[in-house]
Amino acid sequence: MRALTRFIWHWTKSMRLTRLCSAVLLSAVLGSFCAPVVMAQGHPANIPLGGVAPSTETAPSGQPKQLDEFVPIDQLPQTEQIPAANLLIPAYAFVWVAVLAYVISLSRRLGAVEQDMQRLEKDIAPGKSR
Amino acid sequence: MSMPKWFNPAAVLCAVMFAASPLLIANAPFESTMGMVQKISYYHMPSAWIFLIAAIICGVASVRFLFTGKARHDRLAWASAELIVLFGALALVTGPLWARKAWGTWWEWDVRLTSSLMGWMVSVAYLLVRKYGGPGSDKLAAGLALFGMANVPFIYISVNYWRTIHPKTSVIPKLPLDMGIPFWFCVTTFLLLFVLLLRMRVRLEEQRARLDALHLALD
Repeated sequence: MRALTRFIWHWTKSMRLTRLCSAVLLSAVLGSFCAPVVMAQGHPANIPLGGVAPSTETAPSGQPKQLDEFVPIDQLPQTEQIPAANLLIPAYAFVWVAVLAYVISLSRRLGAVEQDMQRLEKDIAPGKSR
Repeated sequence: MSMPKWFNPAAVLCAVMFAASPLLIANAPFESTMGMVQKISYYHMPSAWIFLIAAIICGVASVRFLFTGKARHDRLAWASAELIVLFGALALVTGPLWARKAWGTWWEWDVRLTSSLMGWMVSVAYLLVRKYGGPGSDKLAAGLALFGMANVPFIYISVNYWRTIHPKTSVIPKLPLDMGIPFWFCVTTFLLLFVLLLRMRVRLEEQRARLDALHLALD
């Protein structure tokens, strides 16, 4: 046991440990620079044009993270456009069709009531009896 | 009694603004995390706002009707209730289409979505009561409208107080200019559309009231 302790004491004082510690420190420094770059490759905001972007960031529970602001970007990845358009077009189409249908329905109802009114006004006009 | 003078020019302006809105939206930048599908928000958010504004108008008009008994307040409440259903449907359909891509699901039973659905169902109940409730249904429906109005602040602030993946209300003041211009343009367009539809719908009720008076005069 004493021999082992003596060995460790000598080893820690040797240059080898200094080199090892230097290597560990250098790895840590390099790692701290490289880790954000590696992680950023999977971040939706840093996907290169033409890459596949996940729809949102995910919270630990697996659900997308709640947004508190919208951040604009200049260009959209090409692969992202087709599925989004499948939802975007029906959304706009639904709004247009629903508003148009309501306007037509309202105009018809209003027209029918006004026609009835004109007919009744004629019926009760002076000189006419039922 | 005819439509006011401003109605036709405002209707033309609204149609032109609606036609121009897709051009502005197409030129707006994409959002960084959601991409193209976020552009649904330019129609979704104004629809949702009008849904809430209509619920407030319906509730206030119903309170005034309950206290004063004047028919014009009841007509305004009825017209607003129909528009709550319309704009609520727009928000509740466009929202899931946006969520499918942004969240990976059509629907989440979180506070914002559930309370919005409840508010919409209250207004559907209002219309059903008015149509099939018989005599006295106007006051019963006015009571329902109060519940609908009480739900509005709850819907609005829910995203800031409860855990949800729905974007917070802070996205609006933080909108950059190139997203803000098409957004406020769409809000103005939807607001104008709401005013026009409300005026038409109130006129329908006014004409129905006159028609009833004419029928009584004939009897």
